[in-house]
Amino acid sequence: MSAMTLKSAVLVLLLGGTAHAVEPMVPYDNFNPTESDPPRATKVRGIDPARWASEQTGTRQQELRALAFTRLRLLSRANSGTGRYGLHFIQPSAVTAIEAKVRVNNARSTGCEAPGIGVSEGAAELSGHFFNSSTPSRGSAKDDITASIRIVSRSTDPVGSQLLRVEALIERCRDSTCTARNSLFTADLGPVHQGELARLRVQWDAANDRFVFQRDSQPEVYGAYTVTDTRAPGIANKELVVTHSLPTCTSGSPSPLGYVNAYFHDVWVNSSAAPAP
Amino acid sequence: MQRGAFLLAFASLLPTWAAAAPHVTRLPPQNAEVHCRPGAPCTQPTTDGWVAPMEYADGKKFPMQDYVNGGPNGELYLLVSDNAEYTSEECNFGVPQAGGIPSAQTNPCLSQTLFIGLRLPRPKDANGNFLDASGFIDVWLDAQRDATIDLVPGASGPRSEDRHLRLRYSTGPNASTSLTQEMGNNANGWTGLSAPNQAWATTAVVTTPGADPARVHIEFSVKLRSSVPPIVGSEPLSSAVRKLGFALQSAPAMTAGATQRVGGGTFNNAKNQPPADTLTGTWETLELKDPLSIPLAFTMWNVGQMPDATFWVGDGGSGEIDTVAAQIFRKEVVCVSEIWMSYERGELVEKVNELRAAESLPPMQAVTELNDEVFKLPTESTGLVLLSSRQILEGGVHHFPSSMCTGNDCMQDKGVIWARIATPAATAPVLVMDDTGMPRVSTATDYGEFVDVFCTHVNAGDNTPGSDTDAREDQFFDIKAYVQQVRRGGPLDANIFPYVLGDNDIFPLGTWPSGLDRPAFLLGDLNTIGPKATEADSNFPAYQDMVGPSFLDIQRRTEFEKANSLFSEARDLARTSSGPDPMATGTWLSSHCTDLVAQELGSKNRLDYVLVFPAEDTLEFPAYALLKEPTASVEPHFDPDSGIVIEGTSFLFSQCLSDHAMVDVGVALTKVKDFVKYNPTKPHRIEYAVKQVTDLETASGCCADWFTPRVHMTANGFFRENAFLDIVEDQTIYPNWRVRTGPDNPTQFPDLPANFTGVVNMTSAIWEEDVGPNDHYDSIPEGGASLAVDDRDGHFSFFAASGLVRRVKGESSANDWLTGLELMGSFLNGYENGMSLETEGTDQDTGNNARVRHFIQLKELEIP
Repeated sequence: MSAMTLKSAVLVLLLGGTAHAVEPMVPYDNFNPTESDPPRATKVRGIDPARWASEQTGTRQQELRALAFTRLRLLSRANSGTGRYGLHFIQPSAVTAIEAKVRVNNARSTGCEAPGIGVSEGAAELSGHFFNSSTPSRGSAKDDITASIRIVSRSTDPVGSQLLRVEALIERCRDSTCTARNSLFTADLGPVHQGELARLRVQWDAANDRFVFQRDSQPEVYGAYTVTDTRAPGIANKELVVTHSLPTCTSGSPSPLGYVNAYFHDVWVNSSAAPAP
Repeated sequence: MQRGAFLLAFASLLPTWAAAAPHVTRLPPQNAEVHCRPGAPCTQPTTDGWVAPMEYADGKKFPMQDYVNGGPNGELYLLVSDNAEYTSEECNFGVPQAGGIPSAQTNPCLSQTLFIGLRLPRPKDANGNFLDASGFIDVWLDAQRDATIDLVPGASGPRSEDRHLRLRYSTGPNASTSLTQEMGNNANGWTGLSAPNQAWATTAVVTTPGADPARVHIEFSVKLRSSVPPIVGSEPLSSAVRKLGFALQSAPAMTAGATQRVGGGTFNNAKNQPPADTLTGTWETLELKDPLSIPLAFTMWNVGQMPDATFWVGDGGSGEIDTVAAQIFRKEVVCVSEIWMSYERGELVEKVNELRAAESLPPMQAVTELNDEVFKLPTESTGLVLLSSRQILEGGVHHFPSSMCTGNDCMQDKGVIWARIATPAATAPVLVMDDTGMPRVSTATDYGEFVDVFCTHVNAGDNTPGSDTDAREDQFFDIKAYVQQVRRGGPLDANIFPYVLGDNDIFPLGTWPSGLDRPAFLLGDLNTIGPKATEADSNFPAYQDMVGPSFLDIQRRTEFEKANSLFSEARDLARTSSGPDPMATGTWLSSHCTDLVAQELGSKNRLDYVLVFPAEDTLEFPAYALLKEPTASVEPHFDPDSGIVIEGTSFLFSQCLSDHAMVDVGVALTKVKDFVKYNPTKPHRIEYAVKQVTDLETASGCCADWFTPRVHMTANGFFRENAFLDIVEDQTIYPNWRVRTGPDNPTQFPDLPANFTGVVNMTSAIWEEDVGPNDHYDSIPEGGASLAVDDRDGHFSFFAASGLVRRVKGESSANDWLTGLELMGSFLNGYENGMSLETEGTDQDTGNNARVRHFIQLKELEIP
């Protein structure tokens, strides 16, 4: 692990060498209680509390977090503010890499009627707070560095469009709840249709001061950072979530909408984060 | 007897004199005004002594079982004609309508007449030669039935309006017949008629036809007299009553040289409740009204949920699993096509049952392909789900041979799903007399009350002749062969031309009761454009080929249909809409489908069907017929959450959930042939099987790996224990793990002999292969987490002396096999095709619980 002095500098490597000091990936949960991968000592009914805990911020009109046969289903429908809804890993500090198959079956983002007020956004994400770039305070996310790979819908998408985008993000939290963020890196990993499956991976490659993002079998995308990465995050959180971020519309405008209906399965993590049987 | 009528008769009378209530049989009369017309004449029996079953096609058939002497069963046919007079051209006119009917027919037909046809077995000598038969036939007629039912004083015995007919007959060189008639004496007895015009005009003819040397034929026609002096109070066909008390008894005489007295039996056919000469309450009530209806509803919907494949394929609409589930969860039997991903098929079943649970509805059962094979391509399946709110008694999945496809369809593994659905009549409670003579409600499902339903999706592509239509027609031929093999009762594990076992087919082992004696239904996206309403078939040649003799072969009228005038002959049930626009049956919408389409169905093509395979075409009665006329509606469904802007407009329209409209059909079946009951004087084969296993261990997930080390039966001092160790994977399986008596066992395990009075014991163990030790599942409500077999496995005993079947305590001690936990039913009440019972485990510690359907069948064997 290294310390970097140059702050706010972002190096984007779209293609490059694979300096793999990263751990191999292993199964964490396939969301199939009947034939669990990896195996469990005892079968569970529903979401395994030994592996997952609920993640929920903001408010929604409708929400659903449940096993759907052999997948995790997360649904969120909101009309104000920001929020995250889903599951976080029960031992997040051990998790440096997350991979999962993600399928957003439906997403719809509606902004304000008046133009220029803001953009509504809804997404399905693999995400985590990986380290703190300053001096962490316990329970505060300020200066935590987050990395996410996500499938996102925006109100600026053409009406009736079935196309979403896959994106990679590195951000720094500007407040204790990480509601406000600074972007350190973004990359567009291409379009994805509603209902199209994508295998997504985000992995912290601390030895090379970067995050590795990958969609399906496309080339890895590297998001390098130049911030200090030696301190644990203030909020040690790694998660599978659906999110919304909606503007406040002026009076008389219809409510904005952030709706995401997504499925996750075949979750893998770095080997040292493998769950106990 | 109609099971439903039996129940109706009992329902209002429970509990005090339930056992004494007259049995009821619904016998809809043939009505010249309604059913018959020149050009489409009815058929009626001609009382000539040749009992042609098709002459009675507007009536019903009943078995005649001899509970005293045993021997082969006889047959009784009944038909009633209504009050309206017949013209000469509307009944028995011209060439006979169906096979077996002589060309010389009564014309004009007779109104207000009860026709009785009997075909009774003839005795044989020690060398197997048929001997001349002789005996008595008694017929009792209660002309004021409501008085008997309402317990009017004096009506429990014969009154002056009631009649007793006795036919004394002998056959052979010295054949003779004599017919006498008596009337009630209003004092619990009979007396002779004092004047000829007091008689109910009756004709009786007895023959031993050369074409049927094994049986003697006896035929009656009885004029159902209305109240015309000197007969008063006779009212069987009066509009306010339409009932007739009726009983019949055949008592064969002993024939010199015969090895066995044969041909006895009664109507009502009940071993312990034969009709008594002077107790009118012991006679059957014939209700001369519309047939009893067994309603069923079928839904066909292609929902266009495309696969997560290596390249993206758009769904056929904006529907998702939960919006699809919301549209179908209250349906009865649903065929859903195009859900290509195993996990979406599993989710659909879960979601449907979540919605049902929220409305306190019992879960739907399903047949589909579920697996957890990571490397299996999603398209290697039929993409079909067949859901039923009724019990699914048997189920299977068949894939078309891989050569039968074109283009992208060859990346799929299309085929047919089969579910044997229990009709509402299967689960109607039946009263059983237990050992103490007290009436109890049985808990078993009647395995004979079912219909076979098939769900399919065939090759896509062009309708003009070419490779697409060739592939499709090959598939139609394959469907026909599969349907036939299933309906005849299997087996499905071998290629028996024209049936060809498909790759990765799923099917019950062995055989099961035949379903050829009733209509079956094919629901599917047949990708063949068909006519709507009155459009001519000839304008749709691909459709004509599909339903024609080379492929599905469903168009021909059966002999029964030719002779019958009461029932529906419809084959293509959703061709005509029952709504205001008969043409609104188009189902193929478009990929850019919006709510505008609702008014355009008449101009859309029709690809999705509910078709009927008629009962097997023979000169005998089917068990069930389809009532006139099925109803149909075709409806698209829309997604308010998903909008689409049509080019050139600025309006946001609701998208269709699917690019296919949903087809809904309502049918009603009725029973036209009664069932055989347990006759202890005959030998029997008994079978026990595990028909269905469902994993209750986890709320979600896939899939359990089932096997059984033990399906056990002890009978008459012998036992047999079968193991089925090949893993069967799914959340719900239909394995047919079985054990039965008979000569095909590897060790001696004889059938039950005639007059057997012992107890037969049966049990099975349900196991799941696991990563660690295998799990012995709990499948009964008793015992909790205990691992003892008595606390985990279902145990059953058949008591041959009483016909009763009970779920019992277990096998730890001999007495446990006799200790009843639950009364399933009595074979004396019928259950000709067997009875089944679901049991469910309740182990809260391990959660290793299964729901298991146990099946027990007692099959009558003829003495060689």
